[in-house]
Amino acid sequence: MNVTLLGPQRIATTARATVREIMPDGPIAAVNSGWQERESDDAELDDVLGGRMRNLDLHKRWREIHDRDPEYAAAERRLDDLLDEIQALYVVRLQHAMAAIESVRRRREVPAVQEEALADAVASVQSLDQWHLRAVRETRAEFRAAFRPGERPAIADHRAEVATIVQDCAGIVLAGGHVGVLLRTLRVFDLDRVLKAPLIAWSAGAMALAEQVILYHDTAPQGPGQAEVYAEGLAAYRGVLPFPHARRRLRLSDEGHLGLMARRFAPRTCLLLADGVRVNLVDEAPLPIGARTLDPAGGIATVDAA
Amino acid sequence: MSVASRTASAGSTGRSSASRRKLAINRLRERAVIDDAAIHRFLDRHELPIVEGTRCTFVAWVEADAVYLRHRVVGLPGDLPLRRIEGTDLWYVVVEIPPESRVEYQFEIRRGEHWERFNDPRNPRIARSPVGDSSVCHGAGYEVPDWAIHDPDARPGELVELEIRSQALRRTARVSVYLPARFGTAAKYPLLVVHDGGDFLEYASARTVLDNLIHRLDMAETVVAFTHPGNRLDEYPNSAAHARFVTAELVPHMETDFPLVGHPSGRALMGSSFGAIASLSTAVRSPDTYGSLLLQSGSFLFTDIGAAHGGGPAFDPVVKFVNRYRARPTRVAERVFISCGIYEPLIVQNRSMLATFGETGMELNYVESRDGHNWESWRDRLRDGLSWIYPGAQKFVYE
Repeated sequence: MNVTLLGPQRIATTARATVREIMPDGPIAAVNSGWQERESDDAELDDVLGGRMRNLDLHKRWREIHDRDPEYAAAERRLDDLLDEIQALYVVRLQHAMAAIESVRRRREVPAVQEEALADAVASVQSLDQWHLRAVRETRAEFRAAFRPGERPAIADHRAEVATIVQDCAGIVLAGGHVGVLLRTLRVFDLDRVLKAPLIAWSAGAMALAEQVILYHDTAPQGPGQAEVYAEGLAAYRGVLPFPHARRRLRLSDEGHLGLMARRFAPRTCLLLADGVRVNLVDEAPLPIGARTLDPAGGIATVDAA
Repeated sequence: MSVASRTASAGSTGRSSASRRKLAINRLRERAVIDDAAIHRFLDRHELPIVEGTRCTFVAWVEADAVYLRHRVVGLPGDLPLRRIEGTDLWYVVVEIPPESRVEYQFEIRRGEHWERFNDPRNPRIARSPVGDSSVCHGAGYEVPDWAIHDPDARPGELVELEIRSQALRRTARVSVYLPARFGTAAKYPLLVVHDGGDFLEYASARTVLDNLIHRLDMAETVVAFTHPGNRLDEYPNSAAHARFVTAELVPHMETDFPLVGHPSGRALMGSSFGAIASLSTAVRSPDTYGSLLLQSGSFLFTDIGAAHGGGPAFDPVVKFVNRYRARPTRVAERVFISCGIYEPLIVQNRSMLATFGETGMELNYVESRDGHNWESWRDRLRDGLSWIYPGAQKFVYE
């Protein structure tokens, strides 16, 4: 699917021009459920979309479902508890695995041995990442099998309404915000079944459309955390993992750190989405010239003509 | 053992160009005539104390036979006499204060046999505490954290007063419960129990700090039980009754009345000084109950040999408890955040406890600051501690 990814829109607003170019006519379906209770505070977004916004109101709809279907709401809260615990255990294991990598990185006495040990340590972390994804996937599948969201009237009605709105729109725009909340609402309303090009997404929106959602924050107040493979995304595009806000959230001066991330998430490419950036992803085509990515050899690489 | 350790807000230690210039007080001293008008002009022109790089000039304009700078900074001489500028009542002393420091002080003067102690009348910075106010010197580069100052954009949480009839304490215990701004019964919140809760609210801006940290997503939305002690010297140093109150009465009460996580990972104890001892000794008695401890300037007095600990009788039960814990340290929580000011007498004991805690395999996060044993020092480390024990949603939010 053709998807246009944009950098964060807080400082540099590139969405307006991009929307005008890619979706020149017709209503535009908007998803800003990542803004949570501020979802309805969308006048500025409507302006960016040229006054053609049809907000899908996914967060509002999700809250309505909780009011109408308390059994589902309670089950979803239990699911959250379970997923939180899986994530907590994943993070505990990840911290140790990443600490091991750092120790291996520092010991350079016999480079060939170190390189082999490092590759194996990275493979261990990749295996851990896959464990988390698998555990989350299976837990969600069990939840769906037990509670059949699509068959519950409160959800089915909203899904049908959302699908109709999307069908009538010229394209879909996904804004940023809380990527966990965004992803949840996209799933509840089965957006992956109704997604269609053209798609424009930024920040958390871009992350939710990827195959995997990677959380990262090297400069958090509680100290640097490890990048986490949080969940599977909607996979509207493949082979690329977006990293918005890289300048504010990644230790860009630490080339080894960046290289390690690139190796860990290979074969997918880690794409930096800085303020003002626009990247058009066309099916399986390579990244466009000028796109900036994390380089497995360390640092940042720029896609060039060669 | 897993220990993360750092000094908070460490800045450049190099001398600034200001410090290479002649000090303001010396420029005044070199004047041919230093009359009242000149002193007035000097005092009006400078913010006191005068911070010039790492050199801080404390100035008092007072009739006295002697003037002293009183402070509780370990490392500085206890009696710091000020010098009189000849022919005037202007007294001064220049003290080397490292960058990012915060120092609480008072002046003490002697007139004949009469002694008087007071805050620096020309320094508007005052630190409040249950035992009285002090003037504050902000070393070069120190700033009150912006998250400790009221932010009109931060939605305020609510304080609800509770009274719990405690059989353990044989009194009615007052608890001020902080509910975050968007508190609702559909969510589940972690619980933080704060010792000396009234003082944290009054002197460490705890409510403002919580509002801001939660608003900025630095910290998870948390229900906080600010407890008010009876006689803290009885209840805090390893009291079985206090521990029973917290674990068997307060926490179950909170988990019944509020939508709380209800697992160790969602329960934390916090305290400073004796409150840290109360937190640790409560957790020691219920090692599977609490996930995190936040211990600030813990009164971890101990003896390696003999009984002389120098803390006075109030510390006897503390020393007994700490000695016993050091002899057989146990894992009492998953994670322990410890902070201490490097200018306070307890710094050595706090550093020593790191190895003790580390033996148990608890995950430790240790932060030092250039400050003393006081409430604003504890306020300034709250973000480090609270965002570590209950991290906010920052890692999820990409606007």
